Amino acid sequence: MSARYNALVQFPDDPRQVELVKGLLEKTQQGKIGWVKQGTAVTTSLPNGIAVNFVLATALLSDSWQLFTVRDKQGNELVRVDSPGVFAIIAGSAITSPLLAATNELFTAVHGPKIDDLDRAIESVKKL
Amino acid sequence: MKTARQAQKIVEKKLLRHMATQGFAALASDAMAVTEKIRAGDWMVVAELGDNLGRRVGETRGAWQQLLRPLEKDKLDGAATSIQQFSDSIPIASQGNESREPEEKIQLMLARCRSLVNIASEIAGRLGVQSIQEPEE
Repeated sequence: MSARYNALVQFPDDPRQVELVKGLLEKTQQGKIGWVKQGTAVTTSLPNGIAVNFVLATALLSDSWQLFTVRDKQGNELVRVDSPGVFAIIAGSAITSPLLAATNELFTAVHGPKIDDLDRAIESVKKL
Repeated sequence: MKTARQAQKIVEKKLLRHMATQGFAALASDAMAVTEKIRAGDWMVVAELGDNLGRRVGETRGAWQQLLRPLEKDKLDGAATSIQQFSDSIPIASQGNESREPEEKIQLMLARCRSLVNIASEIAGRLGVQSIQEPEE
């Protein structure tokens, strides 16, 4: 069940999903998980064939995400979080979802290291 | 040596992959056609094509999901959401008129359609090449 639906009808998130996303956040912040941009998605692969994907939203000025999924080796969805739509924002319930909050934090962390990579590339060019 | 049944299975698989390639290529072309109508400001046609496009994304994804990779499914879902947002943003009041919408809004509508063009083309390209590379027997 998607987080959007959870948020709208106030079903609690599965705490294990929140734990998984927070774990991904922690390891990303520690630099132990490397994320790769693949067109309109940012992805990473974990041991045991687990694939984690952010699909980027269509926006002109800002970077945001549209869909977040974690899949096992067989392609089964372990976690699926839809970015809150207009209705969830109007309902004011999107912010209260711990899974959504953790996913937002993870996305922010995922976007951070890209600047560092670019900085490193600039430094490499300067040293030539 | 393959049996007739095995050979038939291979042909069927190739045919299905070919049909899927054409389905995604057509989806990309249709999304492209909508962008042309957006540029022309023909909102009546844009509304009609936009609604049809939303339906076709779901239909195509459902029909060929066994051939899609997980990331492609996610990107297609993202594009479907973008098309829904695009449909919701089509001006209602000015339907039938060729009135000019704000440039920023038009750019966003185009970007939302392009997200479908991109992923549908990507999938069509992969399936097309895979279809060629598959051995005949």
